[in-house]
Amino acid sequence: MIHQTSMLAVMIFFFFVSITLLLSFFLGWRTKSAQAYFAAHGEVHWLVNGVAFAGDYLSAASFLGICGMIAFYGYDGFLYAIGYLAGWVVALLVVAEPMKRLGKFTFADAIDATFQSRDIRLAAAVSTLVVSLFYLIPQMVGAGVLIQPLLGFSHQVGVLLVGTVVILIVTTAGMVSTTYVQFLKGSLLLIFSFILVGMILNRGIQAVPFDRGAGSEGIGFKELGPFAESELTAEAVTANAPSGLVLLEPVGPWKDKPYIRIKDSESGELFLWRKEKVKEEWFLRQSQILTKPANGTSPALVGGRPLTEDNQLTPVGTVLSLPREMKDTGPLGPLEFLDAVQGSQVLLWANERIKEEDGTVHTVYYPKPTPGSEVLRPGNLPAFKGIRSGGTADKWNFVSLMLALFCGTASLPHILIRYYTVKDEAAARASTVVGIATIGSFYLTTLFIGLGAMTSGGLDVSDSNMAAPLLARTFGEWMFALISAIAFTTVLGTVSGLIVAASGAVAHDLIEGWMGWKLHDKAKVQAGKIAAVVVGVIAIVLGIIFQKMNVNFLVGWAFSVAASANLPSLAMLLFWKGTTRQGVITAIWVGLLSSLTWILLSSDTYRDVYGWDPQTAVIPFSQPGIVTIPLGFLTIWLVSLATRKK
Amino acid sequence: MNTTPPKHNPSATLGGTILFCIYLAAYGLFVLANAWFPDAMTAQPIPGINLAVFLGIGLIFLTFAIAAIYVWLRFEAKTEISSSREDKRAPKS
Repeated sequence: MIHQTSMLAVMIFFFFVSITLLLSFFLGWRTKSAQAYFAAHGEVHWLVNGVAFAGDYLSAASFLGICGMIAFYGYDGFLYAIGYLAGWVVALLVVAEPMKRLGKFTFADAIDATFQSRDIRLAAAVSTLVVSLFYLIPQMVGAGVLIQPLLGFSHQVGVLLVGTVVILIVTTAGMVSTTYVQFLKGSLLLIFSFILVGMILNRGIQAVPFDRGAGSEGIGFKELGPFAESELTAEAVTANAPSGLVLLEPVGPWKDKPYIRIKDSESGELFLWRKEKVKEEWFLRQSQILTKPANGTSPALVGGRPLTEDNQLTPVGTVLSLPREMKDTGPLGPLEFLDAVQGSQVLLWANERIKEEDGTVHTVYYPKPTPGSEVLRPGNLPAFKGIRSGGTADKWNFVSLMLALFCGTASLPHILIRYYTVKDEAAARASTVVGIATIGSFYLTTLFIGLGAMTSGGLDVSDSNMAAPLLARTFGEWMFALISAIAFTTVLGTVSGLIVAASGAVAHDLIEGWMGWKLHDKAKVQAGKIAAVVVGVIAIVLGIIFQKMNVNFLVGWAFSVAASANLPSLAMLLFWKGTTRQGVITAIWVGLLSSLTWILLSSDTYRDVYGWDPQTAVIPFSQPGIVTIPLGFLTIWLVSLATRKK
Repeated sequence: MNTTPPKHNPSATLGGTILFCIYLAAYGLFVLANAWFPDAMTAQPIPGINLAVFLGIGLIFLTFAIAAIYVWLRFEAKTEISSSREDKRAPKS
């Protein structure tokens, strides 16, 4: 789908960027010491720090990803939101206060506080860099993917723009500017999410049925039928249509597919109808088709004609019928809104890829009327489908993901270093509580934003990430411009935090802690800034290289790797006096390497990264957490028992 | 940085442990119910809201409640520690 560039969105985006850069340069005058650069002097107010936690944590995956998943698949997206929030209970009850007490600048500080070991520093720094990189790639790719439809720049320009802004934010005032950018982003995201929910509820839900024939007012897609199976012929479609339509024979990959393809011999327009059986009757439903030619240079085709501003995929997202035969609910309360969705018939869209022998790829988007009661139950998302099919491996894969989300939050280095920016343990605790309130409130709104997008009529059927901005567009250009600009600010806030964490790992842990170079305060800040530029440039390059790859799964893997490598050592150091230096080092490496190995040998990686048959994967399910997190705990326990002094 | 463990009020620490166990059990049961009984999640405990949404939103509010109770426990513990210190400092009559 081609999105029209909004000048208003461009102007608001550059306004936000200017504000953040001005703020960074202003704060840069006060940021001279390592304590200021890496930990914002340790003087950030707990309320600001709490909202900054939200700004740090709520990445593009949270805002655009979860809203998009709910808009396309319903309840399953909300499961991610619940998992992401649950991890904050571990952060509050287990790590918040000890982190503040034990550490200074980095995650390694806390892990190494007891033993003062170079090997622990190395392991913790490598773990920080790996997790940060896993998290950085999807943020940068997301920036490029979003900037294209929203602001009209190319992917490369988008990634370069975001990378440059973030490098400037971090190198001017380090954690100080990062904190205030994240505070700004967290506040704006929460405020505008609630405004958006208010607008969704005020508009209510309207029922728009399929077009049933000439002259009927509907969603713009026809449904013909019911038919007996023998009546499912091209004539069923062309009976009342103008002459000049030619039936395309179902040959090649189309042979056993449930489609009737008809081409207008004059205009070249391709009409696609999908055969659907409902109880004992058959229907033909008008579908959409996007064709990408094999050579990659010819333009993509929509409905057989070149993709242009005038010929693109039709926006979707409608309710076919409402409870009690209503046509328009009018304004609704939150529970009434959920009730209305639950009792309605929603038109979801599924897709199927069909590849020709010459490499041409067709993506067919077909309507899928679904009862609201099924939209709001688990198991619609392709990744979670297995939990309703009865496959045990799929169920454990889901449990493993939810375990990684629960354990991963409190192990993410860029989140943990925010505990050093407040003055004491009480402030660390208070800011975590503010973070929980902010993040939890935001996740509550995602359910309504996602369902609002599902019923807004403005969805891009080919891109779930655009659900929230396109929902906003249905309320007017201003709302679209603001939500789009906030979406970009989410990337700036999260990437800044990740780069600060990575630069601390390089300057403080690797150069000073592991290599043993004694850096005075000013040199350490300079080393941190150089590391930030290097990490930022790497992030830009990776963001461009991974452009064509679906990289959203990397966020889930970052949680798994962080939870497997970091949490066992952190938790055992806090709660078991028998923990030894060797136990900590071994547990970090075992957790890191086992989770990475598991991921590299899993079916998701076979399919999405190597392009191999996922059935041949060595590992039965893709999410490693349920095996590698306990393995980390077992390792630290066994090695500590074996190496403790008698 | 300070590597010496702080002196916590045992009741607050115990309270934190109990809260963690409660949340872990609630979250664990929620995840297992979604994985093994997805169709049961369509039941409606209150009209118009199914069990999946009801439990999901409930878990978010439980997170808020756990955070609030923990803050209250720590505040109580701090007050107790402060008053016991003041008692020790007070001249014996």
